[in-house]
Amino acid sequence: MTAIVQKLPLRAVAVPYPALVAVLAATLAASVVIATGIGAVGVPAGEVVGILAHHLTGGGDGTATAEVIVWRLRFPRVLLGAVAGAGLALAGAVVQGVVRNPVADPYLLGLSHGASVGAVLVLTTGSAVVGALTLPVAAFSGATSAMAIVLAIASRQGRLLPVRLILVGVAFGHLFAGITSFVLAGTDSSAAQQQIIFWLLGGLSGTNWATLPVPAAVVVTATALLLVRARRLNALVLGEEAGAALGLDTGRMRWYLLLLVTLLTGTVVAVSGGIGFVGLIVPHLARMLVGADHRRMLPITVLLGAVFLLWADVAARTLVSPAELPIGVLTAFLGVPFFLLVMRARGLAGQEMT
Amino acid sequence: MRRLMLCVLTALPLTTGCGDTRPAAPSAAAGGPVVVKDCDGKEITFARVPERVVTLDGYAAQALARLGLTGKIVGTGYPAPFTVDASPYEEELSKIPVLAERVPVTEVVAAQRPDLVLTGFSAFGGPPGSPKDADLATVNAQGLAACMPGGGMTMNGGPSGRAPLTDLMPVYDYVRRLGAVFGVQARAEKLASELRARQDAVAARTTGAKPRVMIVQDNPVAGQPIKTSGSGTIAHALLTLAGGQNVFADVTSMHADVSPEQVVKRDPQVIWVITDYTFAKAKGRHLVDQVKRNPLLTGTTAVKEGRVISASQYQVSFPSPLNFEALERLATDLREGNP
Repeated sequence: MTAIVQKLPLRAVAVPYPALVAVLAATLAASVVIATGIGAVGVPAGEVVGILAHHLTGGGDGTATAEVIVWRLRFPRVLLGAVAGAGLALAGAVVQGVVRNPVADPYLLGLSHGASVGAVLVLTTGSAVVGALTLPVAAFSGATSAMAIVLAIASRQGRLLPVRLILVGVAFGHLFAGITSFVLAGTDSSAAQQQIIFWLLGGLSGTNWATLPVPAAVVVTATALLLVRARRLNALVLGEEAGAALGLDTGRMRWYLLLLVTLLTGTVVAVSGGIGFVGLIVPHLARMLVGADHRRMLPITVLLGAVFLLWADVAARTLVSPAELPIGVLTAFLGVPFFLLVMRARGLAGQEMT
Repeated sequence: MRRLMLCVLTALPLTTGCGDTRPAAPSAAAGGPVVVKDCDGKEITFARVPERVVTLDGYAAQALARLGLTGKIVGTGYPAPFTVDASPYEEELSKIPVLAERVPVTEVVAAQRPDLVLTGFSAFGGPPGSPKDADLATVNAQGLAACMPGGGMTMNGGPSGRAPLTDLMPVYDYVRRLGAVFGVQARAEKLASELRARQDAVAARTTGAKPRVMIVQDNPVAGQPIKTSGSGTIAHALLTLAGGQNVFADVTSMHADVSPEQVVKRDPQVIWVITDYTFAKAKGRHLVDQVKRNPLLTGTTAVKEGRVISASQYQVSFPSPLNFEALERLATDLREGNP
C-alpha cells in the first residue's frame, strides 16, 4: 500500500483507478487467508490452506483440533472483521458527506452510545424486562432508537440541517454515555461491567458462523444502494443551494442516507461493539487516494475499511497473546501512523478536506 | 437428618442449593446422564463423566484438586491463586500445564480439546477474547461456572436489588455441582461438610461485640475514591462470618468506590487490607505498611490502635476452598486485641 502511495505525484493519480481497485481487492483476499493463519495457537500454513480449501469446495465440517480452530473460530472472525470494517468505513463516508463535516463519524449521531445503553440495560435488568431480546438485538434497538430520537429532535419541519444534526447528535451521545455509566455504577455485576468494555471499545471475539450472515447481507446491500446514488451524494456535498440547483431534493436525500447509515451502523455495532476510528479515518484515506468523487471513493473506502479492520483484529488477537486486547485500542494505534504517512505522501496537510 | 438441616439452612439465600444435585445422584451412580443447573437456572445435561477439563482460572482447579480430580485437568489459565495454596495441593497443582498467565482466549482452550471448561468466576466471557457460552458450544465443550447470587447476568442488580452475601453457599454449591458432574458425590459431600464444620467452628468462637471493619484494596490516594468490597462479595461474607461488620455494607460491588469523608465518618475499628489485586500500588506486606502510614487513614481508630490486618485476594475474592483458610485467620485476627 505505502509503496504505491509514495510513487504518486502530488496531485495526479498515477495508478489507473481499475488497477487500484484490483490491487485492493487482491490485498483483501490475501489478507483474509493470511489472517486466518495467524492466532494464539500455531497451525501450519499448509494445514490452514488445506482446511479452507476443503471447506470452500464444499467439504463437511470436521472435529479435528486444527479444523475447529481455523474453520469454526478464526475464519468467521476474520470475515466479520472485514465486513464490519467495510460497513463502518462506508457509514463514515456517508455521514461525512451528509453533514458536510470532515470530523464526522458513524457514531456522531449517538449510535454507538445508544447501542451500549441497549446492551447494558439487558445485562443489568436481565430477563425480567427484556428477556426476549438477545444482546445484539438489544444493541441494535438501542442504536436505532438513539438515532430516531436524534433525527426527530434535529429535524425542523421535516428538514435536516447539518449543524443542527451534529449538535443534537453530540449532545445525545454524551447523554447516552452518561446513562450507560450511571446504570453501570448502580450494578454489582462484574460480568456486566466487563461486558460493557466490549460495547465501548468493540471486539470481534465470540464470532461464529451464525453471527455473519445478517451484517454481511446488510453491508453488501448498503454498498450497492449507495453506489447507485453516489452521484447524488456528490451533489449533496456541494450544499443546500447547489444541490437544489442540480435538481436534488436535499431534504429527502439526507433522510434516506441517514436511515441507511443507521441500519448499517446499528447492524455492525450489534455484532462488533463500538469500534472507533475506522469510520472517521478510512474515508479520508480513500479521498486522498482517488479524490472526493463518491463514485470513485466509495468502493475504495469499502475495500480499505475491510483490510484495515481485519489487520487491526489480528493485532488485537496477537499482541498480548494468549490474552486479547479490545480492538478499539488497536484501530487508533495502527490507523494514526498510516494516516499521517498518506497525508504527507499526498501533500494534503495544508489543504482543505472533502 | 443433619445434612438436611444444613441444606435447609444454607440454601435459603440461594435457590440452587442442595436441591439440584439430589435428583442427579442416583442416575450418576448408574452411569446415566447427569443434570445440573447453570448460574441462570438452566439445566445442563452431562451424558458422561468429563475426561478432559480446562480450568480457566486457578480457583476452579483448586476445587477440583480437593475432589481428587487434578488428573483430569489438561490445562489451566490464571494460575496465580496457586501461590497461596498449601501442601499437598500446591505441588499437585503446579504440575498442571499452564495455558496462559491470564484467562486464556477461546482458541487456546479449544486446542486442548476439553469436554468441560470450568471457571471460578460467576460467568464465562468476562476478559476480552475468553470463551463465552456460545464459544464453548462452538468447540463442543460444556461449561460450568461458580455461581454467585446476583453475580451472573440475570438477577436484579440495582443498589438495593438483593440481599447481601452472608455465607459461603457459593463454595458448597460449586463443590456439590462438580461432585455430581464427575460422579464423586460422596467425596463432594464430605468436602462440603468438612468446610461447613470449619465455618461452624469459627461461628462458635465469634461471640461478643462485632468490630466495625473497613476493607481496602489499595493504598488510598488523596482526592480519589477508596476501593472497598461491598456486600455482594465473598470478602463481605467472610467478614460477616468471622464476627466483624463491614462499614460499607450499603454498597454491593467487588470494587466499590467510596468517599474518604465516609471513611472518617464511619470510623472503622479494624482495616482489612485485601492484597494482590493487580491494580494495587504495592504487594503483600508493603501494601499493608503503606496503608498504615496513609494520612487519609491515620485518623481512624483502626490505625491509631494498630489494627490493620490483611489477606490475599486469591483467598477471599472468588468462591474457593481456600476461603476457609482466610475465614479462620480473619476470625483470629479480629479477636486479637479485642477485649
